[in-house]
Amino acid sequence: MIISTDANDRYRLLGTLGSPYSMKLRAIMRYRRLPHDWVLRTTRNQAETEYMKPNLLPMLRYPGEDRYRVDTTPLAYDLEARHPRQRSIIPDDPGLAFLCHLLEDMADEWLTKAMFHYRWFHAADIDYAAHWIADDAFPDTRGAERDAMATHFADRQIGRMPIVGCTPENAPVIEDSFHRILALLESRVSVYDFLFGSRPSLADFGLFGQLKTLATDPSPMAIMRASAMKTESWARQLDDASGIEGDWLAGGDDLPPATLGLLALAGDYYLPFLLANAAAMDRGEKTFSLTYAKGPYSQGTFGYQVKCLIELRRRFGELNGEAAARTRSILQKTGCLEALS
Amino acid sequence: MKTLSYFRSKNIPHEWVLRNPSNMEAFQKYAKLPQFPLVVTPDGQGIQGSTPIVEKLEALYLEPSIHPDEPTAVFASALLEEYGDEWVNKPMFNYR
Repeated sequence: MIISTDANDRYRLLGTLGSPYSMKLRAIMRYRRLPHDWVLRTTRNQAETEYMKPNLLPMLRYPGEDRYRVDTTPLAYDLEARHPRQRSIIPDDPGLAFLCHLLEDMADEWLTKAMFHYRWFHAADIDYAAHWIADDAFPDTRGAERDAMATHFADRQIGRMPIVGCTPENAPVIEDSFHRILALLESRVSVYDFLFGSRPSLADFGLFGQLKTLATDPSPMAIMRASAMKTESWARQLDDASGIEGDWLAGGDDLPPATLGLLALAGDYYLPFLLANAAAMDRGEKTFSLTYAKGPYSQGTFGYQVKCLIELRRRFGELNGEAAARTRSILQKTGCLEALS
Repeated sequence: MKTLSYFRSKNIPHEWVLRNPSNMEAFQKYAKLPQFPLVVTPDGQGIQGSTPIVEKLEALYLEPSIHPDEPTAVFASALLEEYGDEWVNKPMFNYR
């Protein structure tokens, strides 16, 4: 038997190991058993995707196509449409599917601040991450040349910190979010226990992507090993869940306390952030600030995150009947309803 | 991890299953020894031990081969694999 490696008959996933979204999409493809080639994006294959705007990782090329696509959330939904009923990661119940979308969105847009903050804040993390990423991306350099690539990359990322809100002033809010997410997951996750049942959902994979990289960078890894080891184990387990077979919770089932706690966290942190961002965009302001119980938070205004809020409201608005009423009640109890109505 | 990495690099379709009490019965059905990893083939055969697993699958999935073309290199590769399996596992066990 000869398995072709050159023919364009499999998905081709270009990413990096330090990229939470690359880890997320790779884990989704493994869980869903979608045949794919995982390719580290390096200087040797960079030309293949130079035309891409925005040039963000991961990038996915579909079988038989010659162009790449980006953005893991729409890609995950498109893979659902392309391979329906094949180990879906969207809960069957529409209300749960909405809550799953909300938690995935929070992982992608809010927990990622913890990833970025810890990676580029302390000297030991900067040194580790810069060299890790340079080792993966610049295989044809050695010694001082590779060190220079690492430093150059770190400088560029550190320069972006204030724009995305990873500042010393915001650190208490970001770190509190991380600790709360760990405490919640720690009470729930295992090989067979996920946020919406005994099979992993899009929300689980969103959290996983961030946690996988947090569990590798030195400072957040130390935090996880000290206070959330089950969650660290879970981040390893979910990296390849191709052997997991499970069931969704039904719409009327009680949600696990961890899932409700994460929704409450969205109500406390993520949704006020989206509202403040959208209000600043309306006023044409380049930055915005808000105050949480843990302290002040400010960052640059982002159009993408306005779209996130619009998409959340659109999806919530599409619910009807019993699922709408039930979801509304859950959102009310977790402090999310006002932002989404 | 060695066998899983082999399956992935060869693009051999597979499911990765963590062994635990919930699948003990299935494990015992296919395993002759209480040893990991166990590969269950699509036609229901159990193969154990990473070296025999790889040997068997290399014969079925020829390309891309994990053996170099040059005979001396083939021998050196086998020697280093053995060294990894039988000696480098000592530091692994010691530190753990």
